[in-house]
Amino acid sequence: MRTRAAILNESSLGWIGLAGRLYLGFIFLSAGLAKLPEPAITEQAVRGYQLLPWQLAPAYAIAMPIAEIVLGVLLILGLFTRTAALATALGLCSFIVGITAAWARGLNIDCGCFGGGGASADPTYLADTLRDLGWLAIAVYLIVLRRTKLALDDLLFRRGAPSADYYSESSKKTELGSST
Amino acid sequence: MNEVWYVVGLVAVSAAVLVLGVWFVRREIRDEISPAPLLWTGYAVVAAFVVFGVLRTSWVVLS
Repeated sequence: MRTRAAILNESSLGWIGLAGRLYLGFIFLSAGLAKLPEPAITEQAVRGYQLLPWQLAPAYAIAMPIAEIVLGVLLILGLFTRTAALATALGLCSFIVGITAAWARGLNIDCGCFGGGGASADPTYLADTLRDLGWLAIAVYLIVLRRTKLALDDLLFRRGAPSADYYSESSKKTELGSST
Repeated sequence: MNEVWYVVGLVAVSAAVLVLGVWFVRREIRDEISPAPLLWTGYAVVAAFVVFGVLRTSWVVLS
């Protein structure tokens, strides 16, 4: 049986989820929009990591910003939220692996996360990795949480009315009292 | 040596993520959030992505 405190707690978790969704969504949207008009520079940034085959870099440089924009919009709207959060988490994992692999090999590159990229005299691997880990934590939170506030998911794929378990004893009594 | 330890860490973290993924999928199935075949298919796709990423990165870092 859920208590009122549990329902309030669930509600506040939903609002925190909304904040995380909007924050991560705007981050991905701005990263994608910064890279989309400059595919040549993004391609150079991708090649700087020396992880992908040379021929794949142009396609990746175009596909990545588009994917970031789509994921950003989905997160902001709260549409397919958990799937978008899962894709976002996988993307962030790949970014973290790319940055740390460059770090381990002693490469000197800029991450190119918000445009730019390529060779850099002053790489910021630790800061980039910690930042991406923070964003990954938000994405994982959105996957685990299941429902966030003000999401289109709730509007389009609304589940049935809340079960009796949703109500506390006191609210049940109130409803019974009002019906007699 | 640095590269070897990096790959060891990468494999360990990835294995932990895959184990956590199994726990997550089983929890979703238990709570009847989505059909089991859909969840396991999704897990297989993600696991394939992770394994491919680990193999590719390890090969590049060690070569």
